[in-house]
Amino acid sequence: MGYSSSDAAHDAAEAARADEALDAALEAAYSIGASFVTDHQDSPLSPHVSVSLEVGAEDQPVFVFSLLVELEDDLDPNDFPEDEIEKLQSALRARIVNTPVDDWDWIVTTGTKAGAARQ
Amino acid sequence: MINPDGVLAHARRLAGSGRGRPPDADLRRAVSAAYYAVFHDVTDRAARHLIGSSSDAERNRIRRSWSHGEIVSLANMVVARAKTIAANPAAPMTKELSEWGPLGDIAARDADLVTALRLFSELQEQRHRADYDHDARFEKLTLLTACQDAQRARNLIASASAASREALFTLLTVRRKDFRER
Repeated sequence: MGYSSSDAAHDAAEAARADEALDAALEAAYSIGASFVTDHQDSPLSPHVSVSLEVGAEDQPVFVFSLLVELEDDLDPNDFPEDEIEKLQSALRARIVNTPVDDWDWIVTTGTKAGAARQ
Repeated sequence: MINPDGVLAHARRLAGSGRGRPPDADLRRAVSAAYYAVFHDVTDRAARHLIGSSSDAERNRIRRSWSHGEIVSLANMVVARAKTIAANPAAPMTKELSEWGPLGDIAARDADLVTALRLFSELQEQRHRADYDHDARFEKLTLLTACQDAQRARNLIASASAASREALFTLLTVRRKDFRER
């Protein structure tokens, strides 16, 4: 049995559904990032979230949430605001869980606005 | 013997002391090492679960047999099951998970373990970016938070219930076809 035209049609329909789901997840990801920033405007670290869709370790899509905060990019490790960063990271992760993004691989990575501006 | 504490301490040292921007290579090595600290912690615990009374050398041979992919695959399966249970506690298991009786649910019902497995999965993805993605951007804060996540994952595994850890490590064992060193 070879690969029939009905197999091809089925595969094309599956691919179209996956593309639609990915588009919906990307839209949700942008929305999560924007609402997170709005809701944390009063944080002393003034977080910003940028979202990108990349190719992950298993050649699968991975959503990368870059949490950028108001700190010097050459900060002394002794001044690392561990608790505040963990709170922000946990809050962002909690927003991602159980959304359409959560049907895909995703990560939260942390950096500084200063570092992002430098590159 | 690879000591997870030592690996994580090495990662932290790459942040340097005082102010400054570590070289990109140091940042990438540190993010990678943060993941490896958790990976080696998991394989150490799994080997102790499996042949805890054996010698270090024998346990180390077993540790070499687990691959990154199979651990993250199990982690993702347990996390997915936890999500399903949260939405519907009576939801049936997937066909794959149901092969292992109650083990998946025992692991998936422990919030600490599930959070640790989510962090493991993220750290592995970060490690892949650090080791292979030329365009990925890392800075000192990325390094420090990766170390923080790694320590948190390890703490959560330690604080998870003994039953859920045993279920996880049993799953790691029974899903194998062999224990050849990789």
